[in-house]
Amino acid sequence: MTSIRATPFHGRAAASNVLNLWQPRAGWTLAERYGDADEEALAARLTCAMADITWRSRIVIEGARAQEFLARLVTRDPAALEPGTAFKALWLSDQGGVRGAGVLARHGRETFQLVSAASDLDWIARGAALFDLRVREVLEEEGMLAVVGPYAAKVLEAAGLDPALEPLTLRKLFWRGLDVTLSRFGEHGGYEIAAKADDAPLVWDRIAKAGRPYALRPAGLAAMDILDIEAGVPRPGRDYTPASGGFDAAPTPFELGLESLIDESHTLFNGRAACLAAPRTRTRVGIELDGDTPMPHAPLLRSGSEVGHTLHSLYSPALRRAIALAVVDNAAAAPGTVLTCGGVSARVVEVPFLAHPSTSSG
Amino acid sequence: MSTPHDAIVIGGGIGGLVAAAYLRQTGASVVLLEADEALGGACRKAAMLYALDPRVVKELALTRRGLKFSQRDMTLVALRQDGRHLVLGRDPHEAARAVAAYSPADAAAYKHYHSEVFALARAMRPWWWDDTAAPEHVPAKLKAMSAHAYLASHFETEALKSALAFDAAQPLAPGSALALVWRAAQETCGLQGAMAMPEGGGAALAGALIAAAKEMGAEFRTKARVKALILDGNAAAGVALDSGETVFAPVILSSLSRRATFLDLAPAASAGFAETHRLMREMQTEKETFVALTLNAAPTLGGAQLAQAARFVIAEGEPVLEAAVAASASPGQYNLWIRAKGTPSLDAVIAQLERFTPLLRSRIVGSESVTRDVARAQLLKPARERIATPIEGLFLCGGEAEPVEALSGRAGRLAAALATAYTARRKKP
Repeated sequence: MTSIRATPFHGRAAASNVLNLWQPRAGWTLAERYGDADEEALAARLTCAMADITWRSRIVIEGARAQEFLARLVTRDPAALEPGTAFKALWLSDQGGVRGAGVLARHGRETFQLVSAASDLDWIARGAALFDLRVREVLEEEGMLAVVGPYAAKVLEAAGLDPALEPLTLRKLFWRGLDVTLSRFGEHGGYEIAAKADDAPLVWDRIAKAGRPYALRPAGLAAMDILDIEAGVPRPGRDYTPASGGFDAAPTPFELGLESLIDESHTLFNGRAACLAAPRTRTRVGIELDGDTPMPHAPLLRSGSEVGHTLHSLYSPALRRAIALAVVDNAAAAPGTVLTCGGVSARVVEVPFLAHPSTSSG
Repeated sequence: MSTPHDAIVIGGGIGGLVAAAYLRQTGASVVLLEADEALGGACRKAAMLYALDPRVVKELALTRRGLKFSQRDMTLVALRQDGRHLVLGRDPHEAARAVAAYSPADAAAYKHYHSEVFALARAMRPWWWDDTAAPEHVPAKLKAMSAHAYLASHFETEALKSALAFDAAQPLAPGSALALVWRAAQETCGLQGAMAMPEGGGAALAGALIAAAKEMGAEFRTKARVKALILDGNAAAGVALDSGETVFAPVILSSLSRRATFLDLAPAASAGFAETHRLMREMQTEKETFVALTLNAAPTLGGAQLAQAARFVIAEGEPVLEAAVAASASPGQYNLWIRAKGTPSLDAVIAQLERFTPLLRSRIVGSESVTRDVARAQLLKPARERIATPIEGLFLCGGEAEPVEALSGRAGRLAAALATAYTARRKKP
């Protein structure tokens, strides 16, 4: 990424970012935190938070053969998608290495959008060219705001948006003069509102205003990372290095604990044979560390010998301890297994660490 | 639509014919689809055989079906403009003596080179002939070395180096040193590294193979060009023909190159995205030209004293070629078979030969010339990777499924075996 872009919400984010703490992500400038990251993460769990997620890669795939191409690209069959619905899936290299994970949404018969944490535009565009398809990445022209937390639905309702929407679906709305897309793709049980760049500040203002009675606060990247790890979601770049070569065999979906995103009965997807034949000797687990000090990318030992390593690690304000995602040998993956990491005791637990904050509209 | 077969073979060259015959031996119903009007493919144009698998000859009873050899061990004669032709026979001591006339050092090195290449060839043979694990020790230098460099590390005489280098399709390409070893690993007519000439040329081999497949009950369809593969999920299901007709079978063996099979016949990206792009980048560069001349008098290549049981290599000037002479079926006529590298004109080939057999042009009563692509060598790829494909039930059996493209029949034999194993797996509940 050569340039650092400001998102359409930047003006509003800057006004709230009293500490002036920014962080680059995927070429965008985003607030690292607006105040205290732990408080922002707790707000998402206990009340409500909103976050600028414009940094997500959003690739639009359009054309008569879009479904045929996507059946080759992703690990589930897009023929099953009705317009307005979505599924989570992976895409793999020829040799079964995970290149990316994301949500594939069907906007129309011949239009799909792939939303993911890291762009793989080159791979997707080169593949799509074999099917005479148009592929483009949505950048500054559209902003995306996430609203998460138990009161997210209430906030939307108060703002005049009907929150009755199933997870992994989307709806295009005309919202008091604005064209927006409301979706529920996220890992944290909330909503996303996508709007044109010019309308984005209005979306921010409306949600902020409607959220005031519910103690809604903006959450920065640090807080969203806390939610991700608590939800047990590994992210490319932060937790693992995705396959970048077309024939890379690593990382496998199994060691990342992403095998649930593979539909084995879908016979067409790229890298299927290699992926299903790959050894399944390691798996992804959660680690609860003794103490408050995170141990990112550190070896995990059992009786002195290495049985795996942590991925990203951070302090979870909800669990009041440091936690980590980790890849370990199957023999050390049983919940309750006690390992050591950097001299402190580390206990294997199931992921997610915490269920996502429930959203009640009643 | 016709009744489904057990297997479809695309292409009626040596690979397709051998595959069809072996599949019939297992009891499978086989239909062979050939785009051309005649079967045999490149086989019909070649005059000399140096890679024919002895097991194919035996198992398909090709000798009983009319394959006879007029020459079983042709001596390599490198023709030289200065008249000092270099004669390299089977006996390494005799060959060393011939080399000594040029360079005593090369004569000493020749025996060493010969034994090194032949020993390596025996070690590598199972790997090239069968579906076996990689040999434990392939000298690292050979993996990367060009034939030219490998020969230069042994010899100083240009005549000797260029004559021996002819057997590598691209003697300057990295890794082509192994092509020399591959050549020495062949066993035509029971002799390691021999070159033989069938009576009636390659057409006789084609005839014997067609007879074998036909007698075993394979169905042939000529002028049946395949337009597309039909898949069921990711598994082979049949083919669609240019005529609009469809033929169904759960096993397909393609004699075409991997590139043609996947880019022209298979659904988009079914080779995998990265593999499809690799195939698109792959450029066909190597070509060779077969020329068959009919003469009304015996040519005198290299002077009258040289035996007719020779293959002549001209590595001086362009085009680089090899040639062999055989008496024609018509009395008083002779055939001169030429395999030239690249795409020289008929005229250029004749001009090159006339430097060694004057008045050649005046003796020509008939000529035929055909240029074809040479598949790239895959000397370090296991058989399974050359033959199997990402599509279940689709196997390659053509020249590109061989370590070096040659009329060996091995790819067809192995592809049939892999296809049979696949069928058995598929039928298991």
